[in-house]
Amino acid sequence: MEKPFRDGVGHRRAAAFVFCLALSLSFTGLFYAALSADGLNIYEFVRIVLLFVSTLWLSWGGATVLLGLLYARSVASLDADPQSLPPESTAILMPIYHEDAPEVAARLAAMMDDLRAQNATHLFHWHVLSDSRNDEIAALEEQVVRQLLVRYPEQKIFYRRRTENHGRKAGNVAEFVQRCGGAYRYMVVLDADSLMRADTLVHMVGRMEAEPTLGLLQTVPMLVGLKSYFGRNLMFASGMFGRAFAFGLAAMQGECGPFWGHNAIIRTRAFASSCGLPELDDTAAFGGHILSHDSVEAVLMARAGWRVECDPRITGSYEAAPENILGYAARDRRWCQGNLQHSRVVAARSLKPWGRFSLLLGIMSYLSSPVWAVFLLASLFAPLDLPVLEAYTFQNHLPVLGHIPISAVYEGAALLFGVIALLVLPKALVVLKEVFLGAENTSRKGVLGGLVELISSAVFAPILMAFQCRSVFEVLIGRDSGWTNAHRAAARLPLLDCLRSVWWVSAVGALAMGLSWIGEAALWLWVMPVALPMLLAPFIIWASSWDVGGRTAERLGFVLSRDQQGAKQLLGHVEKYSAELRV
Amino acid sequence: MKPVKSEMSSTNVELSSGPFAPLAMPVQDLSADESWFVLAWRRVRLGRTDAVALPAKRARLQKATSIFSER
Repeated sequence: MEKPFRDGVGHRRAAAFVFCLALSLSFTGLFYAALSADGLNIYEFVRIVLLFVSTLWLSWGGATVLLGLLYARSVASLDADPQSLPPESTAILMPIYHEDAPEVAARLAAMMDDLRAQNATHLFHWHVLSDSRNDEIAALEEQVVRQLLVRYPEQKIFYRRRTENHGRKAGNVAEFVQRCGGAYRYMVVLDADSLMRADTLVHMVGRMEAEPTLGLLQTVPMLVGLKSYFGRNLMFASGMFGRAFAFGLAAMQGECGPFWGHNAIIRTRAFASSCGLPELDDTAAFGGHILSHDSVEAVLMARAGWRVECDPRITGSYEAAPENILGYAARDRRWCQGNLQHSRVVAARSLKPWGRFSLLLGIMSYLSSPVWAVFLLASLFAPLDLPVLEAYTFQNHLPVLGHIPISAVYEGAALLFGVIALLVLPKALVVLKEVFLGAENTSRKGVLGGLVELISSAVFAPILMAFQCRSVFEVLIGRDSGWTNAHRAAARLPLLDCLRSVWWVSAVGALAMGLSWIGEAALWLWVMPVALPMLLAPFIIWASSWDVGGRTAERLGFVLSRDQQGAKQLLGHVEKYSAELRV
Repeated sequence: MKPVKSEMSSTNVELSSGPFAPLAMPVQDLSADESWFVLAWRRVRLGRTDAVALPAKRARLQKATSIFSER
């Protein structure tokens, strides 16, 4: 068995660390040179420290994508057919909680059809694991599962509803393992919006059978089936950049890869023996059940000596996502709480160093927003504490650099262009590679799509940053996210709802613009890319929740990857069955 | 492939919760390693009331910090 993701992993990790440190130290040096030319005040000192942290984080993202681009070409391609399959069936778990039951059943039906077409029905048993509290919803779940049983008599379909939903999703899966786990060598864990092709499922079982030390195999789910502008933007990004990023992650994972909680296959006994999660002590911060259980389960399996691997070469694994920014932010709120909880786990005994580092990366992914926000705030306050200077300008007389002495303009400009390059270059390289060099022959429209995605993401980013800052603040003051379903339904949001939900983001945007105007008028233009989207947040959220037709999306350059196009048949079945099951 | 059509009413179908094959799932120990880093981290977070560290290591840490403060 070839070992594409393990050979030379130390070198790749070291290269990524050196790349990040070199870049962020260079940026910090330039920033220090630019600011210290007229003396430093306390705000500027804070800015220098925060810029170091922020650029370190940005560089890590850039390094992952660049590594993914370089590494993807050197990895051997996958064997299409598994050499051996297990004699017993594999369990496919669909844990649900207050989901749209007909939609979930339609997804299961589409996968069952695909398995039947591949003559692989006998390899799998289906377990719908309900945690729903509402009796009406549960009755509907039972009804649609009965309809599935009638429609697919040859399939083994089971339904169980817990009397108490202790431990949320992790507890739901754990209950299954404790009750039925002994009957299955492997289990595939899905999410309510997951879709997997039959050949992918069979391949994953074959991989587990061929590699006895492999405890968990994670696929890279591609976003499919989204219809709003926000959704199509996410879907394009997933198809275009998702796999390059995943290749970068895989290049550094070694034997301690990620687990994202779904679209993965797990060796049941390995999971049972190493992933029993305790409830964290409630007397300290971030106590209670571990919400983002998947990352913790991955590091625990690796601690027990099992290999955890993400393989971006596997195609045919799909999922959906919230169709609008409010739904996305609500989901992110839960993930934020779960990831910050990992600060209670990161020092656990005998974890692999890369496992600890992965948990720290998860924590940092949420702390990066407050770091940026404080950096911006300090930037707004810094000019107030400086002696009155005239705004220095480039030769074209644009007030571009605010209070930076003319001697430091070059350092300031180098820093500015460096950070922009770090943000844009990895994405641009992926687009160019996919469009002009990729094996998938992505349409040239992908270049336009890349530009549109870049602009859209830049507009959405300050709003999402505001939500993330609020999430971190709420978690720190001990406010629980609760447990809601994933807000997956596609719906155009009413403007009034948007205004009610995000008036505070607009207020912060207006305040930032006002402060910059009072502090240093030349800074005003600099604050606009962040403050203006915040000011207009309700309108941006409202407009981006509108449905965009397939043709319009293509005109915008939102082309789908070949893997995403492969979901067309499955999605067609889902749509058809969903309509039938609702009758 | 088209789904098999059945005349049987779905309300008559019995639901099963799956085969009974229990598997033990022991709760994992997530407590921190008693390394110097963790002790120092606890010291920073909890201050002098750190009662969780092992007595010997706690004494060593206290000794080190007191020597440092004296100097």
